[in-house]
Amino acid sequence: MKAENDLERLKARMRAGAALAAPEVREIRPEIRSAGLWHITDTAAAGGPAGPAGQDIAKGIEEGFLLGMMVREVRFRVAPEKADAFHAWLRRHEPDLRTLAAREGVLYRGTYGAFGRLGSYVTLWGYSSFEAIQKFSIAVARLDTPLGERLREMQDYVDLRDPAHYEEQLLLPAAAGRSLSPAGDPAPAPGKRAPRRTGRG
Amino acid sequence: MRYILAPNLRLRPVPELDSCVVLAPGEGGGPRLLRLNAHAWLLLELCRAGMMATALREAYREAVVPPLDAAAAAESLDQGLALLLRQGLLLEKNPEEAMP
Amino acid sequence: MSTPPTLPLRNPVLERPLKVTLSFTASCNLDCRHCYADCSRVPRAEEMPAADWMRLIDRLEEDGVIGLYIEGGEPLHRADFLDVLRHAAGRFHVQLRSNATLVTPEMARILHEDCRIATLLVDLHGPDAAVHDHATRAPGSFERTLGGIRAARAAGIETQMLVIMTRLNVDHLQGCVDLAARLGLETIGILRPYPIGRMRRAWDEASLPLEVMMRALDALRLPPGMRLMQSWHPRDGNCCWQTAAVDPRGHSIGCAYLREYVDLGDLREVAFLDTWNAPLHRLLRSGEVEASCGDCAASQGSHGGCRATAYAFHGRWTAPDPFDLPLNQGVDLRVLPEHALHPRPQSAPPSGS
Repeated sequence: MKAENDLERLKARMRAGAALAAPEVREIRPEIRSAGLWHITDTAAAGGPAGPAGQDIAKGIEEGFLLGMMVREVRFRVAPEKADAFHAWLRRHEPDLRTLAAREGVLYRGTYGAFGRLGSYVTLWGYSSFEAIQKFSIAVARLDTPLGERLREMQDYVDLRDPAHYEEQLLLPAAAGRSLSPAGDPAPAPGKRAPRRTGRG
Repeated sequence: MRYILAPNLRLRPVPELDSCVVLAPGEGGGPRLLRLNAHAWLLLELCRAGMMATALREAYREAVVPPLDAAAAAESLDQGLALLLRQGLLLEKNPEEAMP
Repeated sequence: MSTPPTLPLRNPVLERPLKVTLSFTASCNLDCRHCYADCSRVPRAEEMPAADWMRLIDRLEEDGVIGLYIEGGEPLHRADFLDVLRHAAGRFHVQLRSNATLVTPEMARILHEDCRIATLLVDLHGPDAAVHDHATRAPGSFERTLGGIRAARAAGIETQMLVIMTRLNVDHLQGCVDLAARLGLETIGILRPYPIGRMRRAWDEASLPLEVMMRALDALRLPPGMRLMQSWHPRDGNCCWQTAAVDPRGHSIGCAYLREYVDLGDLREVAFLDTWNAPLHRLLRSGEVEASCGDCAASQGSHGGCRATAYAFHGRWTAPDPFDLPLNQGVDLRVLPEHALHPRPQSAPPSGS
């Protein structure tokens, strides 16, 4: 009965996209540092929230109401004359984006048009850890991969003539009760990354 | 082809960390301690009672598609099985061989 | 030197422990100057009998424990130890810590084939008889320990060396590394000293300033392929979140290095998992500490370093570990505070925690 419960739970995790990293088996080599220590957490997991807060977030992702341990929100504009083509591209390739991103441990959470603001869109990506962000950014830079190719196609629709229309920010579930202090936010290059204060709460 | 768990394994699920610790016999030496991530653990659990290859493929697809697509699932299954066989956690048996 | 932590100060959480330290006995055939267990030659009457150890081991397996780290005193010194070890064979990953003086070729065969231990961890106090036998106060113990190591390796047991760093051997650590290499060992652990047992009473003669310890570690040159285990910066993680321990009386104590500060109850009277979930044990495992070193926390997300050392020097369960260089806060590790000189076991955190 216990094994059946474990199996059902694992399937649920898979369906939620929360455990799609490639199968891995690692030997545990206990380390004696005074008491013994087993290295049993993922380096990826160690880069994300630990403890009950992290587990509540994982549960929230599994149940579908949280988008990720960290969420990257990308706001951008698409020129009006390209909008229809962009929508058609999304219809054809969003399932692809979801599958390809999942392989890097990232959840594609959709692209949305801002209501009442023609030409404004938001794409949401859910990450499990800082390491997942890093892995994703490496994958994105590789044009010879299916994911890199798809993202370059998507980028072609983004209107970068005015950097003020492009914005990224990293969001964290507030219930985890933490503040994040990144090592440093490099000044964005025009058109590539243009964070700004929006005045939103 | 049928896949079964290797004998004398002790599985210790660690759901809090999305992993499973396995105590496995070593080759000539002492026992080995292994950590399986959730994906490898899923494959092991699917084979716990023994599983024919076609049934395993179907059960695995059901578990991972979506979010994976069919091609990615097939590739992932092949890689995962190869890994578990290489680590001595799974055995491949011809269907004619008696169940343990 | 150290990156500040950017994570919430909480450790990973295990609902049940994966491994348990069993301090099987406080008896030994040696007479070490700095013995943590203050061992006697004859096992004390209060030590748990073998039948109770076996019942406890069965219970631990039911509770999900898959690893046992067995130490003493000298476990092999107690006549009934092999019965208990055989009882655990094949069910757990067993690491046995020993002085190896009693590991004859026949004993090594039993440990490997009958008891199926994973690792033998052998304590050495120096690279030669002069330093080692002075520490053990047992002439000839150095050669007997080397004999035990050779027998264990010949039987196919993975064998590792452990050296507790004190003023007696700090200038001889490279010699210990070189000796380990000559013996064919691939792993050596240099362990910090704890102010418990005889070591506490001998702290004046044995202890070292932190900078001396750090320099000694930095000076080590390892041969290719040798793994070094050590618990100073930047590897000063907090083991509490995955550790439980039982003392020779069968009491749950959290960790072997908390033996003089913590008593969560007799496991013949209270359930093991009830002690794992006791408020003090939860506090020790929580990672809720006053300061954490980002480098040390990086490996598995655990915070604050060793709780036993933190408590010994600060008297607070949430204090930072002064053996971690960025968290030392000017504490002189040669000076023990009053509460560490006269420890009293606790079963619960202070009110208000």
